[in-house]
Amino acid sequence: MSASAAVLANFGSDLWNAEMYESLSVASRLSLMLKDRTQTLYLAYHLRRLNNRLEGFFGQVYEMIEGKRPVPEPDEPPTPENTQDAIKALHQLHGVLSRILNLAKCRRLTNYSLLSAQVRMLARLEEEAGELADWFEMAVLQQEQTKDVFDRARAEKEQGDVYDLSQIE
Amino acid sequence: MAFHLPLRIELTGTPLRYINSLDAPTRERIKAKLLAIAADPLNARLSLPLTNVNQRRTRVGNLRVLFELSDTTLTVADAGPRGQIYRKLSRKASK
Repeated sequence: MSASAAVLANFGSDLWNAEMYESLSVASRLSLMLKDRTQTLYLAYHLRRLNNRLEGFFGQVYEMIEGKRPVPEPDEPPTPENTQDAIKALHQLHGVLSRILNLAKCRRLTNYSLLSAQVRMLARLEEEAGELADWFEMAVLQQEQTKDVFDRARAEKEQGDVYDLSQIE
Repeated sequence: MAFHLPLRIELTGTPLRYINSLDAPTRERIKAKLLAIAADPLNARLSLPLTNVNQRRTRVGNLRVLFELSDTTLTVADAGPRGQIYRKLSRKASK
């Protein structure tokens, strides 16, 4: 089994959920603080905490996908329902991160020297969360459609309908 | 698989026509991303594998690009906004 297939097979296990829901919890708390107009110093602390957690979590996922880190064996394989729930939770995490960024922009925290670097980092992590959620969904739930796309591309290539990069105008 | 880096980039007709219909800055961003991937094809921060490790996907803004790797070539199989790649296919199938 390839590293990415092992990651996909583990997605939705208790270990994944623990990491993901913990990140979701920290993100939701931060979102609440932004709404409550909490003091900037507290915001900076929690924003940094969230970024570190997400950076570590996503970094681990990337390393597992690249085969640089072993994928932990789950006690029992996750069911399709568990996997769908996990994908939903990752989309939810992406949604909360987007909300935090919007609130930060509304409160003009992007111009605040204490926070701006962390907000920029969160913007990158928000994109990565969306990308990972999209990837899991595509790799786990849309295998048939993905196969069709590559079959069609192969057919086009066989018919000679293939061009190099310079053909992009 | 041992790659001969950087990989040669090629596009099948469908994604090429779509990409050429986009605005110039987006086309440049797609080109830059493909060149980066061709130099480091298995970097998970640049592209993510699908069920087969050589069939991968990447994102450029709101666009999703699917491509396949061989030891010398990166072949772009499709490009489109999120979710629309499959809609195109199901429309064709229903005709």
